[in-house]
Amino acid sequence: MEIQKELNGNALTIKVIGRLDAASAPELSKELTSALDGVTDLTFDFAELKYIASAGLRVLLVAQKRMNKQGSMKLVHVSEAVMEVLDMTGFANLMTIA
Amino acid sequence: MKWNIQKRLLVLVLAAGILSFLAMSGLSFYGMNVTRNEMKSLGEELGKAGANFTETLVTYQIKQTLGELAESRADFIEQKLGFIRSDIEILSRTMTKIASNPNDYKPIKLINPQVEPVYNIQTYMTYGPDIKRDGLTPEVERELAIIGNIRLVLEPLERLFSEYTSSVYIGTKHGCFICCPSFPDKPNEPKPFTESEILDYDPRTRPWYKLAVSANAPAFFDLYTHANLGKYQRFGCSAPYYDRNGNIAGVVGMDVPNIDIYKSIDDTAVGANGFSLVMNKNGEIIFASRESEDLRSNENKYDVRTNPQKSLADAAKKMVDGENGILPVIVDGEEYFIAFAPMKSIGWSFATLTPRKDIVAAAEDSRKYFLAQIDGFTSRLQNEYLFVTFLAALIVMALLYLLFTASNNLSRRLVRPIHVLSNGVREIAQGNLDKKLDIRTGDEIEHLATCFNAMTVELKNYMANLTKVTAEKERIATELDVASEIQRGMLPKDFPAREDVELLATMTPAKEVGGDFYDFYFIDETHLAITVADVSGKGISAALFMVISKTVLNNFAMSMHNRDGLAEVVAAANDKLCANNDAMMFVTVFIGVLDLQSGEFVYVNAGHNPPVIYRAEENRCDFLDVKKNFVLGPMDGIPFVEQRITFQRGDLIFLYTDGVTEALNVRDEEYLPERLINFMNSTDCRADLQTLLKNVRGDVSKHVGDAEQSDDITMFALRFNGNK
Repeated sequence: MEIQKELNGNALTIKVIGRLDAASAPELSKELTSALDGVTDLTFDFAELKYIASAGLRVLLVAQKRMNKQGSMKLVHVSEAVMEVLDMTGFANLMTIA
Repeated sequence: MKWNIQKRLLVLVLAAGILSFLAMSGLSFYGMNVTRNEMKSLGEELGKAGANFTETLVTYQIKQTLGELAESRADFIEQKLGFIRSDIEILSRTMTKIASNPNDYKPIKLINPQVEPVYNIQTYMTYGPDIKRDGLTPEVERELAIIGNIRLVLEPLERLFSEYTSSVYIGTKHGCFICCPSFPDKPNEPKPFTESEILDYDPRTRPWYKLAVSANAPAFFDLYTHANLGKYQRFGCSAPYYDRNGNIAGVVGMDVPNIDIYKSIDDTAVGANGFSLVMNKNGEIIFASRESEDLRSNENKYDVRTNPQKSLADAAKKMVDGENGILPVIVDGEEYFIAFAPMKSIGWSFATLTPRKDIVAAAEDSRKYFLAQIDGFTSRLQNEYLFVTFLAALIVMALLYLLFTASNNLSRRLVRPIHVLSNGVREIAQGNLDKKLDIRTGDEIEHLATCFNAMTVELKNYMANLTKVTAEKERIATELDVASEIQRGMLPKDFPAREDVELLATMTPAKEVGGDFYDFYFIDETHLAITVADVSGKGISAALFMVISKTVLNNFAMSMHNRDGLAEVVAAANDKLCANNDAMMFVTVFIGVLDLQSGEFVYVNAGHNPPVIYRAEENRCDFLDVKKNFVLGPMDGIPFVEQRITFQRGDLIFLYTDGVTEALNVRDEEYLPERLINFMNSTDCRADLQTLLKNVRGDVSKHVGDAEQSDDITMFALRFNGNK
């Protein structure tokens, strides 16, 4: 997995490339812990995300919970496979997916 | 070739030493060589220059000497000639006196060789051809008798030369000849005469007479060889005398032996091959102390100035011109130096010739001497040089020996602590970590030993640590195993053997403790609850969350289902799981309750994979329609929707976790739901559950191949056989 960050003022875009599974989720989690300070507009770009596991979903949950307090969060360019998972687990109803 | 450090060190130090020695030796040898060569060439140059200088000096001095010799000899000869000239002048004055004053003298009758013999130093008179022809007049007779008085002068004068064949004489204008000869070789015999000498001799025709008349002064005449005089040539001097009126009345003359002069000329010659000569005004040779073609004597009236050899002709010109000089000439094809000086009174020139080679030989001798000295110096220098070289070589060899010994010692001393070190290290390597290296050399080796000691301590600590960590890991692993065992233990394995329903579940855990679980239990006699769930994440926390989830679901189902329905059970369980879930753990759950009598199946799907439903009547599998309820755990107070279907006899529901559909092969490709449904449609779903689950598991394994199992794989099948 690879993580690309782009901060534009208070807006942060995080591009996650590859597989977000139990092995790589802690890395993203750690990244988010520090990166979200002062961010009001968080965007996950999943254009190149091939797979998301439950551990990955949990990271999104943590992020969503935090962003509920300090701004908003959305997912963009979600692939079909990932969307299926989000849909199945009910995450699709909970999160803003553009 | 492999050398140990001691040897390498030795070679290195030796090489460095030898190199510097060689460089130094080379440099000094070079320096010495340069000095030697310089000295040698300097010596040679000096020698040559000195030799040349000496040669020049010697040549110059010889020439100078020759010039001085020529001058002194010329002066000597001139002086001798001066004496003769004085005698002739005295004779001339006396005759002039007699001729001018005939009356003052008594007639004296001289010997007539025609009638009387002439003895040594006696004065005689011949009358000459005129008187023989014309006869003797009394006047002439008287005049001749008066002239006879001269006998008193002639005879004492002749006695001065009586040692040599010589004569003093007078020729008169009448053609008479008065002579006083001396012939010391036969002094007691009368002088022999030929008749011609007595009767026909006319002095007026003789060169000495003509010369004196034409010069009208004393004059020397050239030498001529006289038959009686042997090898010695003679020369003469003549002068006119006068009568009362100042007219020339005759000529007086003398033939002088030139032995003294000749001797002096001969003595003048320098070296065995040198010779001397006298040249007259006409460039003719008068004396020469040696026979010579180019310088032949004057009998042939040979003018040397016409000699084809230019150097000789030029020298002759200068001599005739009365100059002093030293010139190189070639005589008879040989090189000479000619030194000449004039005899001014008579216009002759004296010259002495020395072969050039004699002079050059002298100069060459001195040059050789000089060069020999230089050679001696050079060879002394060479010997000194050799000695110094030998000494230097000895010193270098001695130094090399010292160097060898010193560097051998040095390298041995340097290497000794390394040996101590390696022995110590070997001991440590054999396991004695308490070994301490004690090396106090104060250099890098001590540092190395210190490092080794530190390393030993580190190693000891590390090994202690490792033991501890290993023990810890062992403990954790054991704990995990325990957790895994608990997880496994929590999964029900006693599947009820009933006629109305068949149940079978398997769970293949991944290497790490996963979060899958399944459950089934009877809520009451006719209601069977089944659950398949998957906790987010892995490891011990997932396992623990799984245990909690299973317990909570079980508890709420047992207590709430019959009163509040399945949806409320799930909602209540969710609320319970949300409490204190800061870690945002969650679990996807499919839970269903089967009414064993009616076949009605009520279910809630909270974010889980849709199960596969097999309708026996259609012999066909489909994904069960599921509402997309949110997962349990993260969000409390949310509603859950329950759904229901009715099972017919033989219908089957197949539950699973994402460990099935997301199983990866080596190319990271998922098994996918499509493949699952296709496989289930192709396999025999009426087979006993054991076989069915094995077949599905087999297809998944076929897909996975050699890839490592990434997640727990849980499968749960339920077949409804109806109430009989």
